[in-house]
Parts: sequence; C-alpha cells; structure tokens
Amino acid sequence: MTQILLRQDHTGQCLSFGQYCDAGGFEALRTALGGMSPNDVQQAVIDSGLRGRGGAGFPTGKKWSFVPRNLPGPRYLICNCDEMEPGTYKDRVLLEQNPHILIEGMALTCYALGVEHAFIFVRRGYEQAAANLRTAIGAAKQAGFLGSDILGSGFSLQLDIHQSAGRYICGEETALINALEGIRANPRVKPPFPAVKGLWGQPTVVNNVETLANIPAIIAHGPTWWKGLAATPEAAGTKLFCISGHVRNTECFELPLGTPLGKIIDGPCGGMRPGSTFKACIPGGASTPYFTREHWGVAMDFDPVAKAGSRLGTGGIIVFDQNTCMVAATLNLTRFYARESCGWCTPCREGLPFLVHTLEKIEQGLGTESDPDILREHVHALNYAFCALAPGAMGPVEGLLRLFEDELREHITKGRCPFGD
Amino acid sequence: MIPHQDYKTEADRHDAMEQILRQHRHSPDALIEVLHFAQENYGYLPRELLGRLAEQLKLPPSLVYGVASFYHGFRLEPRGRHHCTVCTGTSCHIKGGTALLAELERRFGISCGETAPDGSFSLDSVRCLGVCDLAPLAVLDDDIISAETIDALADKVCQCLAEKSSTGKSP
Amino acid sequence: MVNLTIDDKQVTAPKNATIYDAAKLNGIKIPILCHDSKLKPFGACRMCLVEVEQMKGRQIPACTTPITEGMIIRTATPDIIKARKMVLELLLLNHPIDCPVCDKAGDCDLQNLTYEYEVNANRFADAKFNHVIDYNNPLIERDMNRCVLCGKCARICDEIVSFGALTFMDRGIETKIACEFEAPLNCEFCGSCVSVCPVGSLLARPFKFKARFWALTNQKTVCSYCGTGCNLTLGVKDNKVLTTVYDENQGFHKGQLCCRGRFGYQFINSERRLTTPLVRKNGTLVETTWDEAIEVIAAKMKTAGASTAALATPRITNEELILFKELMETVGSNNYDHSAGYAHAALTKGFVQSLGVAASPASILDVQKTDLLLVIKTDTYETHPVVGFEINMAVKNKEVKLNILSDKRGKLSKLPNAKTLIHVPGTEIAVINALAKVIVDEKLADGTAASVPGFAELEKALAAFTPDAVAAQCGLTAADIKQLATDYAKAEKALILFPVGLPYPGHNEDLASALANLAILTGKLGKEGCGVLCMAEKNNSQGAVDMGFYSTAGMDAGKIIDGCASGSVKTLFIAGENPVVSYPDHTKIAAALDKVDFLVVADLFMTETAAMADVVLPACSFAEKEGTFTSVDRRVQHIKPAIRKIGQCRSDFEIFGALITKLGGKPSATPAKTFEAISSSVAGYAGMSYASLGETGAYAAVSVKPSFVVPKTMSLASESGKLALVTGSALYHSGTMSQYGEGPMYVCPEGYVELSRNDASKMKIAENDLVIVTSSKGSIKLKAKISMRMPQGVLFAPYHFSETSINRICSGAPVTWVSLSK
Repeated sequence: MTQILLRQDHTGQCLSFGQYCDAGGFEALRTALGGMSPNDVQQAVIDSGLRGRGGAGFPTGKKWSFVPRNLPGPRYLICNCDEMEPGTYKDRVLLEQNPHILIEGMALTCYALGVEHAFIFVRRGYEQAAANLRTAIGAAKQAGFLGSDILGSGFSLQLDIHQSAGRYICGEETALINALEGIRANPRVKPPFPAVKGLWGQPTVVNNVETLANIPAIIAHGPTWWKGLAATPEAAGTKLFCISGHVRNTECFELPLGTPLGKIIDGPCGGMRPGSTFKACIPGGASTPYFTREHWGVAMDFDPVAKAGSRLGTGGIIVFDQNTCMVAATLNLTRFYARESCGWCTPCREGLPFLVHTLEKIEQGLGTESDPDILREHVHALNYAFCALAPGAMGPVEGLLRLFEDELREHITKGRCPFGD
Repeated sequence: MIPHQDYKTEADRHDAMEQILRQHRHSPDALIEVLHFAQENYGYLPRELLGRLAEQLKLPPSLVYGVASFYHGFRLEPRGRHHCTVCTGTSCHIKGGTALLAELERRFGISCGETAPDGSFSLDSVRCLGVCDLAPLAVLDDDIISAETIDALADKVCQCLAEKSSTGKSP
Repeated sequence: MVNLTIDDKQVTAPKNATIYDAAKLNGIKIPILCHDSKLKPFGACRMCLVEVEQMKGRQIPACTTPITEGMIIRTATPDIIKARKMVLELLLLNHPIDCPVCDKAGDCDLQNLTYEYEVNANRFADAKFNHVIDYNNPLIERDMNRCVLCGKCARICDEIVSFGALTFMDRGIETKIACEFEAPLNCEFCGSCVSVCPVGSLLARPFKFKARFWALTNQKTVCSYCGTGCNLTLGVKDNKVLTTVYDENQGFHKGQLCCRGRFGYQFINSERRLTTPLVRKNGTLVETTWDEAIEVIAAKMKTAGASTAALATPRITNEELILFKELMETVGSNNYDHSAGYAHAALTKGFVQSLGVAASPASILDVQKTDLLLVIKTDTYETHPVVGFEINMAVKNKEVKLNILSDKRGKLSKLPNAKTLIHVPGTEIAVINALAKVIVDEKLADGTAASVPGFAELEKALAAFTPDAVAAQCGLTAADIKQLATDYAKAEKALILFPVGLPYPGHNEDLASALANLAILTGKLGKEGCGVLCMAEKNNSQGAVDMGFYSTAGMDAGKIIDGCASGSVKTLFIAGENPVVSYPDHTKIAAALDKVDFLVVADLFMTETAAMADVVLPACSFAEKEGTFTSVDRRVQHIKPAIRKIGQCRSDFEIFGALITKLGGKPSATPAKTFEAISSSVAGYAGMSYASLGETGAYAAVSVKPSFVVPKTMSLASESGKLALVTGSALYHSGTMSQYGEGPMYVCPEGYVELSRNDASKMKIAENDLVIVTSSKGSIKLKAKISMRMPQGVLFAPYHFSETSINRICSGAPVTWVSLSK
C-alpha cells in the first residue's frame, strides 16, 4: 500500500526539511517550473481526477479552471486548514508529520493559477501544526522554493499563515475569506463566487490541506499513476481517514480511496475494542448521515458513499458501539452546530437551537408523538439556509430519523432514554 | 502562535501594541492579528484597549467589539491563572466527555464557564479540539490530558493542577 | 435586457437585475424582510426563496441571485409557501407577540407577512428573548426582543451613514444588534436605522404612542432645513404633524434623512408658535387683528417709501420672495436682501463673474458619478448631511477619490483613503490659487483654457502663488499642493463641493471664483460628474438668488443695517430672518434694530428679532402653504399644505398680497399664478408649471459662460498669543430654526467651543468646562468640547444658538482672533 502523504521520520517526529528533500521532495516543483506550463499543471490535476478533500468533493482541477486569468490585479490561493468539526483531525496529523508536502503542493498550485501571494488559514488550537509550517516555510524560503524568482523561473510566491480566532464557520470558504479580511466570519453572498471575486475582491481559490498535499505526487509521478493508487477503478488517489470512537486503534490512516468501510474497521483499526460491537458510525465527519452494519461493504469513495445515503465528507469516521444512544449522539452533534451557527440566516440561527431543545426533550423522556415529524420538517426546511452549515447539521438528524426511528420512538413511548442508568 | 512574551509593565504592553500596529501599518484588515496579539499580551481583551485599537485601526468601536465577540478565541473577561478546557466533541462525548465535565465541576465547585473566586482556576468546555484519537480528554493550560476512564482523567487533571500551582508557574 | 419567465409570465429585465428586482419590475411581489434596494445584497432572512427550473427546482433567494437569459422562475409553489411559513414560524419562536402595544403595528413587515401567509398558530414553542430595552435617549428606542436580525440598521449605519454605531454582536442564537459593549446608542441620530427597521425593534420615540400607523395621513413635501432639498413625508393626524414617514422611493436620496430632517419637525405644531398678530402699544406687544396690523404696516411703508427696506429668510417660497419684491416695488424701494448680504455672494458675485450665471454648474447626483471629489471644508457633511451620505456612498461603493481642503478634520476625513489637507484658517483661497498655478505651470490645463477670457490676467496674477510660497503661509507642504493639483487635473471627472452660509463669511465670491478657475482650467465643467457645487445653507437659498431677492440697485443687507442705525432706513420689514442671532456683530445689529423707526417681523416664533418689532405677524410654516423651493443644484420642487393653518397664521404670500392690495397694487392671486410668472421670467425656469414639477421636481437649466477671474485673497493679520476661531454649522442644526426641533435640541442643545487636545491640556481645560472666549468685540461663556479633529491653535464654534450666540464676539471676518480663559 503506497502512502504519499503521511511520512514521519523514524522516531515518529515531524519530517525535517532535509529528510523531505532527500526523499524526493520539491522534485515535482522543479519539474513543473523546469518544463511545464501553468496550464500543464492544471491539466495534470484535471486528469488525475483529484476531488476536494475538505468535505464537498468538488473536482479540484475544475475549481481551478473557474479562475479568470485575464482580470487585473492579483489572484490568491488560500489553504483551508480550519479543521473544526467533531471527529475530523486528519489535517493536523498531516501537518504534524509532513508540513513540507503542503508547501510544495501550494507552490505548484500557485504556479498553475498564477498566484503570487497565498495564505494558510490554520485552525485555533493547532499550534504545533502552525509552528511546523512556520519552520517549513522558513526552510523552503532559504532553499529558494519560496520567495522571489523561484528556481530562476521568474515565478515568485509569498506564503503567509493566518491563525484563526476560532469558529467552525471559517471552514466555509467565503466566511474564511471574511475572517482573513479581519471581520466577522459570516458567509458571503454567492454569486460572485470566490474564484471570481474573493479575498479583497480578487479571484481566489480555497483548497483543503489534504487536497493541496496531493498535488506534488500527481506532478511527480503523473496523473495516471496517482489515480491508480485508489482501491477501485472509479476512485482516484489515497485518502486520509481519521478514526475515533469505540475501535481498538484510533488513528489517522492513509488508505486507498474506495477501501470498503468494513475493511477499514477490521483492518487498520484493529476491529472494535473489547466488549464493543459495531452499532453505527459517522462515515465522513459530523455532517454526514450515519452508516450501520448494512453499509459494511460500501466503498469509501465519494459517489458510492453518496449512493448509500451519506457523504464521504472529510473522512473522519466516528465508530459507535452497542451502548451508544443515537438520540444523545445526534443531540451532541446538533449542539455543536447550534453553537457554531454564525447567526446570519433565519433557518440556521433559529432552527438549530429549536432542534437542540426538541432533542433534549426527547432524550430526557419528555418527547411527544409529534416530535419526529417536527424534526423531519426541520430537516427539510434547514436545507434552505444561507450556507452549508445548517444542511450539514441535518445529516445526523436525517440519519437518526431514517435509520433509528424505532430508537427515537422508544425514548418517547418509554418516557426515558433506554440507555440511561 | 504569536511570539509570547512576558510584558512586565503597562508601558511595556502599550509599546508592544504600538509596535504590532505599526507592523501591520494600522490596516483594519489586521484586526484579528492585532486582537490575537492583544490577548496574548493582556490575557484578555479589556474594554479600553478595544476602544483604543478601534481608533488606531480607523474602525468604529462597535465593529471591533462585534469581531471580538464573534470568535471563540477572544475573551472579553479575564480567566483564571490556570485554565481547564474539557472537550465535549462527539468522539469525547461517546467516551464520557460530558461526564468528565460534570465531575470536574463537582471537584472544583465551579460551573463550566466560571472562574474560581480567588481567580486561580477557570473551567470551560469546547466542542471538539481536533484530537479525537486521544478521546476523552481535557486541556490544562497548554497540556493535553487523556486517560482511559473518567475518574482517572479527573485525577490526572487535579494532580497536574496541583503541580502547576505549587511551582507558581503561570502558563 | 434579459428575457425570462416568472410564474408563467414572459418578462424582461435589465442585465444586472436580481430575480427580486426583475419580479418587482414586472409587478410580481416576492416577500422580503432583510432586503433593501439601497443596501448591498444580504440574503439572510430566507423569505424571498423562489424556485428556478434550471437549478433543479432548488429554492434560492431572489434578492441575491442575478437573472440569466431564459430563466424559468416560480415564486409561489406550495413548497415555497411552506418554506416561507416555516421561516416566519422560526422567527416567531422568540419574537414577542406584543403587537397591541407595539408602535410598529400596521407598518410591520413581520406582522403583515404573518397575516399574509396565515401563520395563525404557533406550532413550535420556545422561550422568548429577555433583552434589556434601550430607553437611554429620547429619539430612538431599541427593543432587541423584537429584532429579526435583518441587519438593515447596522448595514445602513455602515454603508450609507458611515458611522457604524450599530453592529452584529455575538453569534448563533445569541446574535444581536448592539453598540460596543452593549452601551447605549450614541450616534448622529439621523434615524436611518429606525427608517429601515422592518419590525418594532427600532422606534422613533417622539412618535411613541402618538397615533396608530393607519390613522396617519401621509403628506409628501420637501424638507425646510438645508439646501439639499430632501423629499419628506409628514405623518399627520388631527392637523398635527406627528412624525416623518420613511418612503424608500422618495427623492434622489431614497428617503434618507438627517437628524434635523427626521426628528426636527416639531416646530410645525410647537406650542411656542405665534398665532395672532401683535402690535406694540405702550412699549409692549399686544394682540391685534390682521386688519389693524396690515393697516399700520401699509401706512408706515407708504410714509417711508424709498426708505423702506426688507430682509427675507431664504426659507420662504420662491413665490413669496417674488411677491415680497413686488411689495417693495409698490412702495418704491429697491432695498432688499437676504442672508446678511454675504452668504450668497459666491453665487451672486463669484459665479456670475466666473461662469456668467448665479447657480452651480453641477448637481448632487454628480457626487456618485465622479472620479474625484474636492471638498472645501469637512463642514460639508455638517451643513448638508444627506449630501454627506452621497459622498460616503461614492467613496465606499464607487471608489471615488476624496480630497478635502479644510481648516480642521471631520467625519469625511475618516472615509476610506480620504486625503485631508489641513490649512491655516482663512488661507483656502491662496491654496486654491496655488493649485491653479501648478495646473498652469505643469501643463495640466485643458487645451481650451488659454482661449477663455481672462487667462492672461489670471496667469499673471498666479505668479505670486507658487506652491512653495503658499505652502509656507498655509501650513501645507508644496508637495501636498502639487499632488492635489495633479490628482484633480488628471482625474477623468472631478467635482468640487463647498458650503456657503451665514457662519462661513470666508466662503465668498473670491472663493467661488478661485474654485471656478480650477474647473475652467481643467475643462471640468458641463460634463457628467464634473463642475463646482456651491452648497447654499437654507432650503430655498438658491431660489432666493434665482428670484433676484438681493440688492442690485439698492442697499444690501449690510447697508440696510447701517441705514437703520443712521436713520436712512425708516421702516424695516423682516420676513423670517433672525439677524439678532444669526448675523455677525450682535451688538451692532441689536443697536441698529433698536434704532429703526418701524420694525415689522413676520415669523413662526417670537425670535430675538421679533421681540424688538413694532408689529409681529404670525407666519405659516412650510407645512401650511403652497409654493416652490429650489435646491442647491437648482431642483425646483412643489410643496403643498400638509395641515391647515395654525391659529390665525397667514402665509407670507398672503401677508405680502394683503399689503400690496392695501397700498393700491394688484398682487398675484395664487402662488400658482406667481409661479407662472416665474417660469416665464427666470432663466432656466422656462416651461415649468406646478403640474410639470410633479412629485420629483424639475431641474432649472444652468448655462455657463466661463471667464477667468482673479480672486482676492484674505489678509490675515494673526494676533500673537491668540487662537483662531472659525464658525460653522453643527451637524444637527440649520440656521436658528432647528432650535425649535426636539431632535436637534436633544442631541445638541447649546453652543460650545471645540478645541484640540493639545490646547486643552496646555490650558488645563477639561471636557464640558465653561470657558470664556474673548475677542475684540466682547466675550461669551461656552462649554468646551475637546476633540481630535481640531489642529492646535484653532477653535470651532457653531452659530445657531440664541442663548450663546457666537455672533456676540464675531464680526463677519472669516477668522476671529480670541483668547480663552476659565
């Protein structure tokens, strides 16, 4: 199994700049600047079939192609490292092990897009990752991979780190742009889309850490090779899966995209922890509807997961055992979203706290027969919110209603949580 | 994070703020960077300071307050000399994170979001720290504390706090 | 144009329209809460969701989505109705249902939509908010419990008013609109936030519990304060003007008003209004009949004949001014003037010499169409606040460059990238001449400039105004002057704005000519977004000039006052002016009016001037009469009575008419008739009639014949150890009339003197200390206001206040040298 992203030194520490270069680091950048046009780089990414690793799975090359190249003024690239949803920690692990690959990936992307100033938006609390990045940027600059006239190619790039002040909504790309501009991170009206009018009104691409970290391998080994790393012919590349919950090994693994769910849990995760049996899991971060045993064989790739009624999302898998109350788990997730709502639009601001209150009521045994329908109505209505936060919040609630309605109703009929002591 | 320094006097702090403002050329875009620095410098964001920053960044004071009150990372009130954050994210929740918070509230006699009357300690919760592999967990000042059971974890937090308090070391 | 289908109807709409705009244009109503056509798209309330077939029938907000060719839109499918009901139900979760005691009932978007969508049972229950209501000021009440967080108040305060008093605080369900640290509101009190609030969160307190919204009759009119000519809707009940009503479609300013316009209407129904004619008998004014009063006045005027003189306020209508002139002609006098005789000189002398016309070759609409604004004095915001909003929007939304030449900083200086050059008070003409010098020397002048009459003389005269020489005397650098000249000359389009009025004696004919020279030199005249806009002080200042109500053959205001003192004026008729407070050199004015044989004052109030009169006539306010006003950019607008006349009040039109009749003349019967005469005799007014003016008014054409004029600069002998006092307008006031408006008097109740922090600390003066300001004319006590905007050595004082009239120590010089003591 080939790993291209997660590489640590033999002591398990962060890879040094020298170690990264010795293992072929920055060769892709050399190759690109030496003989590829920016368009060649973009084409390679399009050919590779790389899809965004931040959650939405939008084809990366296509996103780049939306950037108009003929507008006056600068263009910007922002690396989204605002990883804040429960159960997702892959970007932290990646940056704690190998920050250099992100820098090389960003340099390649900036070359492809004609960007001379890029930002890394780092989540509050990821101090180690930010420190690693600072060191890595310093080393890359010293070695001539950043700064002006990189490798004599005439291409220049300044890379800056912005430490977020902390807010889940910053992960939404237009909210992130507002945060970078020093104001409240409310999402912006779209259109105009950031690719046309983003940071300081200029064309801007926002890509996830993992997405950008895949670019060097695509350029170094070619899109076909990279695509072939996946477990199925339809999938492309590898994926970071970060696991938590009731399994033996709660770690972040780099696996071929399209590896079946059961294989991940029984394989690298080492199965369930002693005394636990699998009840359900969140397959791709806090906004994705649950998977149960029936989804054991689903290939963990964007389209198959969507077909099975959920989303691959970030690849953050939280595994629940038989003692987990799904109402309480859903309540916990909904509380997260209610707290993180920026307060901008009506459905999200007013609807999420109401859902929290309703789920609290049910969990406390005070639910009524009409509550499941009220929940269902909100799942529908909250899809019409301003941004994707509220629809995302509805993932688990929708999953609860679809897969665990009996458990939900049991709370109501018994007048208590069946898992309570 | 922003280079942390121990500014001894109010004048030092003031000079440090002036320097960071100059560094950012008094640009309103730098508000969040400046607020980060101010909080590092003062421990929280005092009212008068926000007013002064607004003036210097040519922003309405309301807007500065609006930004400061939006982000989790900014504090408008000082917190305890030592601070414990309990993660109640989903991965922690299913492994007892919520119970841990209740246990620490019981042991320290303060509620989540409060500071002990003597200002020595404060407690709050967060919805996922992005360290789900170590769940359940708490963070005391800058140190992550994790354990298999809730009781063991609460014990560890208390022990750690006792050590920190006895050496008199501030975070 | 774009073709699209809305609700099965084929429609077209302009290219940049949103779905909401396109629907509205075609008569299809889409409900909104957070959208406002004046503000940037927001899209937060989710009431305006519609379905677009091309987007797989997804529900998208109409207010933020641009239309595209062939779009098929449905605005009211069962799904959409359901979604909108849901939005309303969610909003009502926390919103108190206190409509019976809410002043907004009947005019509340939330209430109306709840009714329209038949959300008659609240299926979801949740706790109501419990926010503290802000009753801290008497103008705006803030009840955040009723707030739907459309953000319009905060957005308008930022995007148009550029103050930023209100903003979003906190996040999620705790989000609310507040001031910093939830402090009480402390702002300009323009009330823009109140006007756009869709619910009862922001209310005008002067109107609270006065009337139900539906009981009001709305009367459209024009604001009677400054020369901007804002359109205004008065809310009337039982012959009382109870409030101003916001109408987002009204005027170029889309219903935007300033503090005095919105909250200063109370003078109309003030208890202090004069209601009967008064005549002085045995030294005291006693009530009399109109017949007696008219008889006495007519007799006195007849006797005085050519020794009769008249002063009028440019607040009265064009028709009244014409009739006043006729009255003077009837008695054989041509001694009439307004505004102390100097406040209109920029137009009547400056522009006449430089441009061949006593009007501005520019309009307020040019502010947002230009590339560069050159504003003379930051006071431009204070004198004409709604023009100030236009400047804010031009700079913030249209990236118009703003250059200010001023003797102090001000609110305009805070706009993004605004450049403020602070000069020594009174040296502005020298600086402007230096700009002209740079333009000529650096070959930045337009090709046609050299052929304009007077070029050679100007070029010669400018020799003394090298940037270096001027910089030294004005406190600027030569580089600043060169840069400003270059920026102005090189801008594709540039517009100059300058205020004139009683407190700006330095803004005279020479300043007007100096500025006109810049525009002529660079060819920035007669084109969109170009020109020079002279912003006269009062609602009909331009009208008074257009009607020729100033001395041409007879005495001007200054000579009239002198004539009163010397006895060459026997009878003086003052209509609406209050020279005792508003004219410079209080002692001289008071002595002259005391001396004159017979003084008639027609006014709304017993002003300081009226109190000295032999006959006092109760005149009508603008809300009780018909006529026209002409704005600073020569927009002629028709006003109609909003209420019946109060008490025995008569309009000035009726008063002058009765006197003409009494004196054997034949006055015009109605204002409409007079306006017919105006339209056939006043240049630019040709073809106008009341009918053609309609609700929006019409622009009187301005045709320009440029010549260069050499402006005189002021000689400023500074007095060592003294401070330079400059006067001006306070943001909340206009002339002396705003003293009878509740809003202005709450925010700014008395005179003050503003000084720099340095001067204050040097003299150990604290905020609100009473200080004695002494000039060669005398001294007055004023409250001190310490501010960042004043340069060291310069003081500012507003001139509106009767009790603390700054004219007790000023004598009409642009700068008064004073000392300060405690």
